[in-house]
Amino acid sequence: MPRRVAYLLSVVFHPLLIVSYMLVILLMMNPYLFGVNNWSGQIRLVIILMFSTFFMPVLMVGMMKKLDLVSSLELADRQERILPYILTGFFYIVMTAFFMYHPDTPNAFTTFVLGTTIALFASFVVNLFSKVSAHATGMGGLVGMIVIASWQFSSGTIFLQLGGDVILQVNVVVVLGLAVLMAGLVGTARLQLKAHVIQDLYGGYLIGFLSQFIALRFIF
Amino acid sequence: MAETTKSTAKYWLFFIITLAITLAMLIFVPAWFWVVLPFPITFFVLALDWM
Repeated sequence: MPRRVAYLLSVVFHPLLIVSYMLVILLMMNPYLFGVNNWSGQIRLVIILMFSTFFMPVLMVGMMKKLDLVSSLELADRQERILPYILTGFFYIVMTAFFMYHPDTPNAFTTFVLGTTIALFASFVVNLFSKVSAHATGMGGLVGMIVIASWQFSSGTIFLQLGGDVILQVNVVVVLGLAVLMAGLVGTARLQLKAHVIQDLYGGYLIGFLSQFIALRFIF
Repeated sequence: MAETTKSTAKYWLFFIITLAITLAMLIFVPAWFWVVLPFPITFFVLALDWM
């Protein structure tokens, strides 16, 4: 895999973006779950979520770089990841608590957000002793989320609105297969960039995947 | 210095076996085929010595 492609995959599937992807997939699986069935409402929902799950943590790491608290934005060193994990975890806890006690939030989404927060703290604890891939944790969580959603919250079909009234229907098993392939590709990209060794990836996939099922058990 | 050649026969064998399992699952239990999907791809990549 060329280095540029590996870097692009690492950026597109950044762990902080995974919750937003989860929301997009859930909206495509069941558009009426959130009570918004138009494009603008759905995009607004995704942007609100991205504010606390992506923009704020990225801003914080950027500030830490400016203050020389971290040497690079990639946080290659295991020790450097401790503070960003704690600060990001704070945002994820606040967001999870908000969704858990907000009556309009569907339980399906609360489960996935809780799963992500559990994965984040599990990664933090494991990271104290051994490096774990946050990308693999995110992708493991995404696969776990699609597995749970396909079992519990969908009719077995994903609806892709291609503009206007054209709607493409895709079997959820195909989406699951694609998610597994993407998880593998992201892992390969991390190995290609020499950011991790394969054990870091296995640990990450396991933490991400299992966290979603722990959250499911907790909510339902 | 003698150059060592890596045998990939083992990986080709694993690739064929896991591909057959994946196809069987796709036919008989399509909802679960994704569980074995990483294996044929991983063994294919190893067999081609890409990693």
